[in-house]
Amino acid sequence: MSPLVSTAQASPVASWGTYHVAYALVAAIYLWYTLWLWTRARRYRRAIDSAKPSSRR
Amino acid sequence: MTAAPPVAAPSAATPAAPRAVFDWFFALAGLGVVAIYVRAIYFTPIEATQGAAQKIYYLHVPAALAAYIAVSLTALMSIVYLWLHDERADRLADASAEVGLVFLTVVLATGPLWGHKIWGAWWAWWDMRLTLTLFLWFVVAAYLVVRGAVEDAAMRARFSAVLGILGALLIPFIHLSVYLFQARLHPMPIVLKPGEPSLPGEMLTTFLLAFLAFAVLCLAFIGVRYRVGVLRDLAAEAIA
Repeated sequence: MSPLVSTAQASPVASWGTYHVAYALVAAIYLWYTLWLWTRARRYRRAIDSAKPSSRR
Repeated sequence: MTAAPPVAAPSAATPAAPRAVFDWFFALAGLGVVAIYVRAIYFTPIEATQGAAQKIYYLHVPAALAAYIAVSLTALMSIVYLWLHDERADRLADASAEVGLVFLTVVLATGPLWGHKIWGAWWAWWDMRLTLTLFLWFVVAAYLVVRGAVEDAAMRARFSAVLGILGALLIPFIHLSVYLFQARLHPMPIVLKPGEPSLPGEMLTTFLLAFLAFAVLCLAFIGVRYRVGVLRDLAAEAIA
């Protein structure tokens, strides 16, 4: 088996920082997009509600 | 005598406003991604030569495959729109493209981080998988720019549908680029290839679960974005 895919605990390169940054960055992107979807949904709902006849009186 | 209704009636293709854009499926997808984080971080062994950076694999590759799903769905729905002129297909293509751009952004953000540590380079223009993925990002971004720039709904849907179909044509070239071009940084596939996957069992299980979780998240995002699109269209009709 290629060493690229080995699970042996031979001294791997020190790359903990890179890995932590990547995982945090991906979580941040998904959370940002979720928040953006929520913000847009709220804005459109308010636009629909404000255009209803009862809110125009 | 009654006054004329101040709000335009929704067209036949615009459904009623959804009660909630975030549903149980989205919550399930979120839990799935959290579970993958826990499994990849705490219950998957560290690779021998790359160290902890190899764990980026469990985010990078599933995000790329999820982006393929989203962009392919955009192309499929674009074809359906051009064929049937159904506004729901156009709305679904729009939703899939935006979600595809998010997943492509994840791919392009995590790839250079991993590459810098392992290859010693953030980017290499002569690696066709890198460059074609960036091209796909630009095509999908252009798709969304066109949708924002054209006011006429039918023209917007038609122009963007053509762009959506052309963008998806890049996907097979991206996947096969490691076979087509000799000069490359990306390794040959170790899972999506003819024959047995080269990953050890625990790593392969984590990868397959991550792919499942990201595919579900991709579909959940598309569902939410579709419902946001319905609200957007209803809001546009209401203020027209």
